Amino acid sequence: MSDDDSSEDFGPKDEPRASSEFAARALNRLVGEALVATPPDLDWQCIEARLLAGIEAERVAIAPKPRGSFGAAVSFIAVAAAIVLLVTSGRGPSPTAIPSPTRLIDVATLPSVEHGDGGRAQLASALGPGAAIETGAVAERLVLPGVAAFTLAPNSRVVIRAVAIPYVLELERGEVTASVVPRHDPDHVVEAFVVESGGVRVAVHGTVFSVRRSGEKIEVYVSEGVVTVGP
Amino acid sequence: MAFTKLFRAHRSLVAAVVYRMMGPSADLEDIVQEVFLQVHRSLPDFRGQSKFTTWLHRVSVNVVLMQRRRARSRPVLVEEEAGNHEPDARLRPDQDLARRRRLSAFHRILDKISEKKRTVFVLHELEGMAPAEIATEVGCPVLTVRTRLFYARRELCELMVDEPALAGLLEELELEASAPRKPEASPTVPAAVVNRGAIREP
Repeated sequence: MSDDDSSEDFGPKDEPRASSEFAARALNRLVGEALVATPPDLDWQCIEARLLAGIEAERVAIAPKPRGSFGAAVSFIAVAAAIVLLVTSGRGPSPTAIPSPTRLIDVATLPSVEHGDGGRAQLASALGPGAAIETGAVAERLVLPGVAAFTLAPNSRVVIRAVAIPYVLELERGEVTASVVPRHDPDHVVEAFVVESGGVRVAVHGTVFSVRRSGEKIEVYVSEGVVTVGP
Repeated sequence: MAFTKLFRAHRSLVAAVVYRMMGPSADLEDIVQEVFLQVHRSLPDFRGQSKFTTWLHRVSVNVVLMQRRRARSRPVLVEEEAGNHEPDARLRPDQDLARRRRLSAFHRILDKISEKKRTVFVLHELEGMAPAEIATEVGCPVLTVRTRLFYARRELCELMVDEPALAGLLEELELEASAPRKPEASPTVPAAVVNRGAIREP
């Protein structure tokens, strides 16, 4: 059969031969049968599993590449109670390389709100990227309504790196313990709160956890829920 | 997961479109999966200007056409295995077998005509798309679509003679035409109404 369309724009020049009347009727019948033909039974479970795997693979492929030198070798998902991960970092800079200048914030100047069992916490939602918080001999408790509440242990320092979702804190020294409000998205795991320290990124999916930094050693304590630890 | 619900709700529709356009194909599962991957990628672009099923049909058609373009350089298996289908309970086994053989033969002759003609024939006759829609889809004038359709039909009619499963259908139709007509069972009821099973006693 020719694939040449050169004469087609001039329209049909002749009608099908009269002897092919039955062929035309047969063709119509074939079309009718093809229209009502039902596909064979398919393995829908297998298709669904492959489809979801394909979607996940595409999602990973378009996600930003890890910025650290750990690569994929150091990536954990920590689940449930009292799991301690010890990660020795050989690097200093934060994975989130936001070159915002830091400015030290006096926590006492932040609004104080009631939080928890009659306690009070400082409202941190007014702070933007680059704000640094240090503690002396006393721990400080801060709250981000709808996102998280976190406690900065004595002699600790954090810098706020991002205030959108996820909210990103860089722990430069000491320890931060956070309780994160779970976010439910049917399609994605939402990282609402992230702590970065010494090249380690702890992404939180609604949990209670601590990150402690002692020099180059990073310790992650998971009390509830799930966190992802990676570069 | 919302997308899983969407997949489960519409997978049969997509499978039917792919099956009509491709015929008994070993790639059916792969193409259905590819359609939904494409749906997942394109879903953010769906503005709700048409019904979702209309949009889904268009995505399915595009994926099938793309698959056929890709597959042109590869050998295509069009012969179906006899055990691939559940028999249709409404037909006797011999009728069901004959129907499946005709369907396979139909897709064999479809694959013998040029891809351009096959595309317009399938989109018009099996997918119910208007020539103007097809013209937009394949990027050619409407008149070209009509012409390709005409030649596709003519070539398919000629090819049927060489297919034993379809030659039998031709003979059957000729015999039906030469046989004396049976008297109408109920001359007061129009045949079209009888065929639709919509008869109601007054």
